[in-house]
Amino acid sequence: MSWPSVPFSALTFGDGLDLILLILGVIAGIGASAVTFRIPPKELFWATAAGFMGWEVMYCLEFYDINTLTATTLGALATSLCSEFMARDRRVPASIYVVPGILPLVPGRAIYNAMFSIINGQHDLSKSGAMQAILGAGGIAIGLLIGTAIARGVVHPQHRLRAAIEREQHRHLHSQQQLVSEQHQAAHKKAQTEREAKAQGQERAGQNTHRGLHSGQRHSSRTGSPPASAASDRASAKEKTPEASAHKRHAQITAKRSRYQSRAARYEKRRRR
Amino acid sequence: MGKLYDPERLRIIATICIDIARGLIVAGAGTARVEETVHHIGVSCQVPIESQVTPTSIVVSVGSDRPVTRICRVRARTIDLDKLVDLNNVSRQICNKEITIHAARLRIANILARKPIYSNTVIYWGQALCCAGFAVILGGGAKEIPPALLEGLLAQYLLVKLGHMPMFLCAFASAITTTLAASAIHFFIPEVELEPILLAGIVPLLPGLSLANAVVDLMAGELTAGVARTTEALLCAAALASGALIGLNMSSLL
Repeated sequence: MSWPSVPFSALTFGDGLDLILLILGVIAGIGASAVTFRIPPKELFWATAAGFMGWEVMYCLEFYDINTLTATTLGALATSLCSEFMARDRRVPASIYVVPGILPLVPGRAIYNAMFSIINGQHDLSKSGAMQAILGAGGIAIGLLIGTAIARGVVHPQHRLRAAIEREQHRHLHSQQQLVSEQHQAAHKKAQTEREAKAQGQERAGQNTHRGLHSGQRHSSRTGSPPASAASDRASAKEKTPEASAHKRHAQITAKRSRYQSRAARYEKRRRR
Repeated sequence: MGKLYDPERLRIIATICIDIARGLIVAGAGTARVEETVHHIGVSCQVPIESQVTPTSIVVSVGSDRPVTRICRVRARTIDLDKLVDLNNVSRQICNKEITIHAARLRIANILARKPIYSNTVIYWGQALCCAGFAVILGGGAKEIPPALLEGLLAQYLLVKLGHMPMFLCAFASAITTTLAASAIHFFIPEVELEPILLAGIVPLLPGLSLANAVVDLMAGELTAGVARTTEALLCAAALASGALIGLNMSSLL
C-alpha cells in the first residue's frame, strides 16, 4: 500500500464509474436532505460541501483500513469544523451545515448486520453488530462534540475575551483621561486666576504709579514694579509647565484610547455570531 | 434612565424576546443559542434580561426592579432551518442596532407568518433523491436507485400524513412501511439488493438535528436541554430500529 497512489487508482476505468456514482450519490444525498430540512437555497452548496468533506475524510480513512469508530469520529470532526468556520464566515447558525452533513457518516453496514443477526437469533453476532452501530453513532456525537468545543472554546470566546480586555482598557483610560482633564482644567483655572490676580496687581501697581505721579512718589513705584513683574513672569512660567504637561498627557491618552477603541472594534468584528 | 425602564418598553421587549425565542425553538434551534439571542437583545436594549429556555418551555423576564415576565409553552417542534437563519439575522440586526425594536417586531411577525420556502412537491422529490443518494452511499448501484426513490416518496407521504402524531410513532410507522416496501421489492425483483434499499429508507429519518442540538447544548453547559435532546434522539432512533425489525420480521411471511 503506497500512500499517494491508492485512492486515485480507483479513478481509472472499471471502478471509475462506481466511484463517480458514489460521489454523485453522496452529493445528492446531502443536498436533498438539506432541502428536506428547508435550508435556504443559497446555503445548499455550502451545506453539501461541509457534508462531503466529512464523508471524504471517513471514506479515505476506511480505505486505509482504519477502524470504523476512528474514521467516523474524524469524519464528524471534519464536518463539524468545516461547518463552524463556514458559519462564522457566512454568519448563519452552524447547525444548518452540520445536520445534513452527519447523515452519510451513519454506519449502515453495522446497523444492517445487527438487525439481521437479531432476527436470525444469532445473539453473539447481534451483540457485536449492535455494539458497532452504537459505537458509530457515538463516534459521530464525539466528533461533533470535539468540533463544537474547538470552535466554541478556542475560537469564539478568545475574541470575546480580547474585545472585553480592550474595552476594559479603553474604559480605564477614559477614567484616567477624565482625571487628567480635571487636573488640566484645575491648572488652567489656577493659571487664569493667577493671571487675573497679576493683572489686578499690575492695575493696582499702575494705579499706584498713577497715584505716585500724582503724589510725587515715583521712585518707590519704579523700584517696586520690575521685581514684581519678574516674579509674575517666573510664576507664569512655572504655571505653564504643569498646564503644558497636562495638555500633552491628555493628547497621549487620547491617542492611546483611540488605539484601544479601534482594536476592540476589530476584535468585535472578528467575533462573529 | 427612567425612560429605559418604562413598563411599556419592557413589555415590547419581552414580547419580542418571547416571539423570537419561540420561533427559534419551533424552527429547530438549540437552547443555548436561543438564550444567547435573548441575552444579546437585552444588552443592545440596555435592560437586564433573564431567560430560561428548554425545548418545551420558555420563560423571559425583562427588567430588574419591577420586571415584566412572560412564559411560553412549546408543544410541537418542526424542522425549518430557513426561518432559523432569518430569525438569527433579525436578532443580529437588533444587536448591531441596525433596526429599531418596533421594526424588529414587524419583521419577526412576517417571518413567523410566511409560508415554507420549498413547496410540498420539492420536499417530496428531495426526500426521494435523498433516499436514492443514501442507497448509493450504503453500497448500492444504479439498479437500486428507482426503488429508493419510490421509498423516499412513500416515507415523505407517511411523514406528512402522520405529522400530527408524536414523533416516535411517526418514525415507527415510516420505518415499518419502508422496510416492508424494501422487502417486497427485493422479493419480487431479486436482482435488487436488500441492504441498500432497506437502509436508504431508514437513514434519512434518523434524528440528526436532535443529536446536533444535544451536542451543542451539552457543550454550552445546558444540561437539562442537552439531556432532553439526547433522550429525544435516542427514542427516535429506538423507534426507527424497532420499526425496521418488526418490518423485517413481517416480511419473512412473504
